Amino acid sequence: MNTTDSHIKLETELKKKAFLSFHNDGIIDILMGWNLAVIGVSLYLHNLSLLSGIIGLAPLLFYGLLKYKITLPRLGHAQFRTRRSFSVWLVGAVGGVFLLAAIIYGFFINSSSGFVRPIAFALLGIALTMVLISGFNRILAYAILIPLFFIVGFGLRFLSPEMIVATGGILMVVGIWMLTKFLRTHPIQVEEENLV
Amino acid sequence: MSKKDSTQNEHLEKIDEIDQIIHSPTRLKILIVLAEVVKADFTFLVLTTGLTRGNLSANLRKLEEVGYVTIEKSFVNRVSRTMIQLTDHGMKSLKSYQADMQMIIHALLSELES
Repeated sequence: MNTTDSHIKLETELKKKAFLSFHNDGIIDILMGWNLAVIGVSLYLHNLSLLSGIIGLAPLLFYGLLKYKITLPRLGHAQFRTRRSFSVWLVGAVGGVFLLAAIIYGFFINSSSGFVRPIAFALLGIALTMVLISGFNRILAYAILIPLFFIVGFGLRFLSPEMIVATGGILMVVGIWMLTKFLRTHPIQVEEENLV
Repeated sequence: MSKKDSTQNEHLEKIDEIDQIIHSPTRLKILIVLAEVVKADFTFLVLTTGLTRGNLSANLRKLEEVGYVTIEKSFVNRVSRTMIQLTDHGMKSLKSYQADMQMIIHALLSELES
């Protein structure tokens, strides 16, 4: 392995470690869970009004603030170079193509064909594999799995509002558990005046 | 003195020429992390290098003295934030150190094999 390769590998590892630690605080899980729960309740009440949309999306507005107040003081901040390795681009491109294919298939193609079930599960399997390959990157996981959850669920007609609320609830519980663990294992780092 | 002994001495002399500021494992660790980012704050360095705050602070001061890093202190919402960045001089010195070490290790390994 030459020097450039080892630098790229180290940078990728560092970035991955920083990125995974940054999202190990459970905040994204709590917000995603909340959004799913609100969508489920709205469907249950047959009410997809603007208000439910606002209630569902409102916490996302606090995402940056929560990260700034909770995560950054504990994990610090680093500005990485924008260089991307070919594999990252490839995973992103393949993910995008499959997601697009799934959306087009789910929304625009009549699902009366007998191939619906295998194709839907194949897409979900590919999405899961990609998430695993990318080191369980939470953002990527949710970006792929949430749309697929609805597409596959509604496509196969097994998704009920109760199931959506339950999934959201589970995500929120997992998020709260992760946040508690994060706060316990990462005490706040206050810079002292005499240091450096 | 045989030819082999003379070559060995040359390599041993090269070891003396190695940049001692970078050669410290602690400082090398800091510089390697900084070489991979544009800039990082003190907390990020504490967590990625695994050093104590005091140790990191002392070594950063040394690196700043020789011009390998720049340290910028600021206040964000009354909280102190220290950003550290590797300078061009620091990057050049790190690359030069890397090349020197590779050369020495390669030469010593070749001698051991012969």
